[in-house]
Amino acid sequence: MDIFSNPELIRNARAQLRWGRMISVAAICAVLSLVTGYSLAHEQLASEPPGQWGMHLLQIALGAQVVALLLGGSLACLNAVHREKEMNTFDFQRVTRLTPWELAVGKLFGAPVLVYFVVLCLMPAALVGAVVGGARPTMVGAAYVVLLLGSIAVHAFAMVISMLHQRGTNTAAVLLLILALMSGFPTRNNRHLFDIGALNPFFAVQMVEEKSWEMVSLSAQQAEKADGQLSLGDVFFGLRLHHLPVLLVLYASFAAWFLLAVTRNLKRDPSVYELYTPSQSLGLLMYINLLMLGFFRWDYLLQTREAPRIFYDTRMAPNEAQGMFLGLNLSLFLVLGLTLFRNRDRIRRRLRELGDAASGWLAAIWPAPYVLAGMLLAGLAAVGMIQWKRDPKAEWDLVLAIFRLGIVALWVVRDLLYLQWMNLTRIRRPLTMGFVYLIVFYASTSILFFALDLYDTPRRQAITSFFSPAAALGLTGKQWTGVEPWWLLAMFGQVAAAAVFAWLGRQKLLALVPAPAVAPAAESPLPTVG
Amino acid sequence: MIHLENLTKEYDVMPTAGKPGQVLATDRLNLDVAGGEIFGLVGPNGAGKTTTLKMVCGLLVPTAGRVTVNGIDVERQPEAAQKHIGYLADFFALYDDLKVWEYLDYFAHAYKMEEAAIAARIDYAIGEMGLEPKRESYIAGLSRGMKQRLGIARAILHDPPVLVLDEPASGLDPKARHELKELLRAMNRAGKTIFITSHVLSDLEEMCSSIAILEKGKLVRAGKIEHVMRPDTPGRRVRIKLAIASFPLADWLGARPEVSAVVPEGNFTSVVFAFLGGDAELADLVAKLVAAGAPMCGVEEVSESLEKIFSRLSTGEIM
Ligand SMILES: Nc1ncnc2c1ncn2[C@@H]1O[C@H](COP(=O)(O)OP(=O)(O)O)[C@@H](O)[C@H]1O
Ligand SMILES: [Mg+2]
Repeated sequence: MDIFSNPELIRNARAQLRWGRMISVAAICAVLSLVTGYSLAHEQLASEPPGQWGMHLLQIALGAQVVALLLGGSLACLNAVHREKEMNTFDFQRVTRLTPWELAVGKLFGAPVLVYFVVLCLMPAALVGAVVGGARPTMVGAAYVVLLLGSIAVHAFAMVISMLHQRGTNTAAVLLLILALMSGFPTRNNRHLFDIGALNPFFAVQMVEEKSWEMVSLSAQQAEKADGQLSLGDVFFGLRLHHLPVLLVLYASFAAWFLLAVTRNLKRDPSVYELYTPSQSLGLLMYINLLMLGFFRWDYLLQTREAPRIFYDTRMAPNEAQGMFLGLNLSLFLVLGLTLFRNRDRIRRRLRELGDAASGWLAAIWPAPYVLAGMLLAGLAAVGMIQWKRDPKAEWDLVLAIFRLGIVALWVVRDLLYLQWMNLTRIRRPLTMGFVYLIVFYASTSILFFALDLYDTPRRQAITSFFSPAAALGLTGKQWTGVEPWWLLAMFGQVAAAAVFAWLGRQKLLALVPAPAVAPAAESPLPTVG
Repeated sequence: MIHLENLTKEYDVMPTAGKPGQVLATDRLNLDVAGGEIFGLVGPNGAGKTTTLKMVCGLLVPTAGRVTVNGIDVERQPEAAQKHIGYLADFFALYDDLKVWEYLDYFAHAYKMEEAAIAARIDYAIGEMGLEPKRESYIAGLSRGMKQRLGIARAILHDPPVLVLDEPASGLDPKARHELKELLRAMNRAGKTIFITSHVLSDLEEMCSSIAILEKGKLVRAGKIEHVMRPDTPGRRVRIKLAIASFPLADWLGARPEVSAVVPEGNFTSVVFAFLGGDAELADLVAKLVAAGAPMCGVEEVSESLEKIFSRLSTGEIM
C-alpha cells in the first residue's frame, strides 16, 4: 500500500492538520523566519564574508527542525500507541484488516504529522539561507536525509516504548527516551573510545557548513583543536569510511530493528507481547557488539601505535579494554534477558500447551541458555580482538581473560534468574521491585565491604566477588595469582546462587500448573437444552 | 458460525485476603452460534461476557481452548477471522477530533473495502443509523446515543456476516433501545448473525433466537430461547434441598431414568430437575434418597421462568 493512502496516516493528518491550525502554524513560522533572517542580515559583522548570515540562518532553521522532530516528534510517537490504549480505541484498530506494518508506518509518520508540517514551514528560511550562505547543495541535501532518517530511527524507538508502556504516566518513558538521545551526543570521551562521529541528527547542522566531502581524520588534525565533532572520517575495523554513509546505515538498521519489534507485536494481545524472538534478540546484540568492536580505537588505545597527545590519558591496558566490553555487554544482556522473560500469562499458556515440559528444569533456567551463549560469543569476540591487537609487551593472560568472561557471564545469568523469579511473584510491579531490591543489595554490600576494608587485598576482593563480581571486570594478574582458588570459589558462588533462583523460579512454575480436573460432583454437566 | 471450544481465560489479579491471585474469567465454555441467529449472552457484571467476546474477536488470547469463526481459527489467523466480524465494545471509544464521515472513512479504508464502494457504503451506514444531520459534525460534540449509533455504523460498515456486540443497549434511553432492537432484527432478517451480550435479560428476551447464561465464567444454560425459557423437557419441575452439601445429589439424581435436566443451585445444597411420574413415584424417589444417606430438608414443585432463574443468578444465589 502506498504510504500516502495509508488510512492511519490520513486519519492522523485529518485530525491534526485542520486549516485553522495549519494557517496559524505557517504564520508563526513565517514571522519567526523573517525576524531571524532580518536580524541576522543586519547584525552581520563587516569582518565576516558577505553571505555568512545566510549560513547562520540555514543552521538556525535546520537546528529548529532537528529539535522539533526529535522532541516534538518523539513525544507524539511516545503517545501513538499508549494513548490509543488508554482511550480504548486501540482494540478497534486491532480488529481492522490493517497489517501491523501498515498500522506501524501510519503511526510512525502520522503521529508526528504536525511536527513534519512545522519542518516544512521552516523550509523556506533554510533554503534562502542555503542560497545566500553559499552552502553546498549536496551537503544540504545530505543533511536533510540525515535529519529524516535519524528522526525515523528515534521515532521508531519511541513507538517501541509507547507500545510496551503500561497504563499510567508518561514521564518515565520520556526520561528514558531523552537519556537515549543524549547518549548519542558526541563528547570528547566517546570519540576517544570509538572512532566514529556524532550519532545524533544534530550532525546535520554541522554538515551544511562543510565545503568538501574530503574525510578529515581526527589524527591528522591539530590535537588541541580536535574535539571529534568536525571529523567526517570514521574508522571501522581499520577501514576509513565517510561518516555520512556510516550514520545513514546506523539509522536505517536501528530503525529496522525497532520497527521489527513494533510490527511483530502491535496487533497482538499485550499480555503475550514478545519484543523479539530469542534469536532476533541475540542477533541485535551481536550487531551492537560488531559495531562496538569495529569502531573501537584499537591501535591508539591499546598503545600499539604512536598516538596523538589527546589519547595519552585514555590509553588502556588489554585487561581494561576487556573489562570495558564486558561492562557494556553486562547491561546489554540484562536488557536482552528482560525482553526474553516470561510472564505468568505466557507460562500458563505454555503449561496448557506443553504440559510437564513447561514446568521442568529447562523451563526454570530460562532465559539463561540464550544469555550465556550470547555473553560467551560476544565476550570471546572481544578477547579475540584484544589477543590480535594488543601490544605484545603489555600484560595479558588468556586464561585470566576467559575466567573474567566466565564469571561475568554467570553473574548476568544469576541476576537474570533472580529477576525472572521476581517477575513471577505476585506483587505489584514485580520487575521494578526486583530491580529496586537488586540496587539496594549492591549498594548496601558495597558500602559494607568498603567499611570492612574488603577491597584491599586480592583474597578479600575475591570474597566480595561472591556477592558482586564487579571487581572481576578489571581483574589483573596481580590480583589473580596466588588466590585462584578463591576466585574460582567466587565463580562457583554465581552458579550456586543461579541454581537457587532457578529452583525458586521452578516453584513458581509448579504453582501455576493448572489444578487437575475438579471433583466430579462440581463438574456435573448442566443441561444444555436444545 | 461461531464455535467456542473449552474456551478458558485466566487473569492475574492482585491477591487479596482470602482470594486467590487468579480469576477464571471464562471456564471451559462450549458454545455454538449458528449462522443467521441472534445469540444472546446474558450474565451479571463480571460474568465474563466481555472476555468471551474479546476472545471471539481475537483481541485476547485464550489461556486454553479455541474459537473458530466461519471455520477459521481466530488465534492462528486473526486477520482472516476478523474480516467476518463487526465488533462493538462495551464502551464508547471514538476519535473526538474527527468528523463523523471521516471516522467511517477511516474504518472503511482500514477494512480494505473496495475504493469504489466506500462512499456508497458510508452513505448507507450513516443513513441506516440516522446520522445524516451529523455527517459533518465533530464526534466530540455528539450525544451518547449518537456516539453509540456511530459505533454500530462502524461495526456494520464493512458488511461483515457476523456482528459481535458487547452490551450495545447500555447507556441508551428506552426509545433508543427500542430502535436498536428494531435495527438488529432488521439486520438479522437481512442475513446477519448477531452475537450480543447484556446484563439485562429483558433486552435480549424478545429478539434473541438463542440464549446462553453465563455466571462467574461458567455456562449455566444455553439453547434455543423457547427451550430455555419454557423448557419442553417432559415432566414436572421439582426442587430438592439438602441441609448440607455432603451428598452428591446432582450426580445421584442424574443416574436415575425418571430424572432429567438436573440443575444444581447454591453451593450444591439444592437441585432443580424434571421428573417423569406421579406423586407416588416422587415419594419413592425421596425415600430412596433418604435411604442413600442424603440429609434432605425439603421437596417442592416449582414453575420456573428463565427470568426467575436469572434474577437469582444475578444475586449469586445459583452457583
Ligand atoms: N484485564 C483484566 N485483568 C484482570 N481481571 C480482569 C480483566 N478483565 C476482566 N477481568 C475479570 O474477569 C472477570 C470477567 O470480566 P468481564 O469479562 O469484563 O465480565 P463482563 O463483561 O461479563 O462484565 C471479572 O471478574 C473481571 O474482574
Ligand atoms: Mg462487560
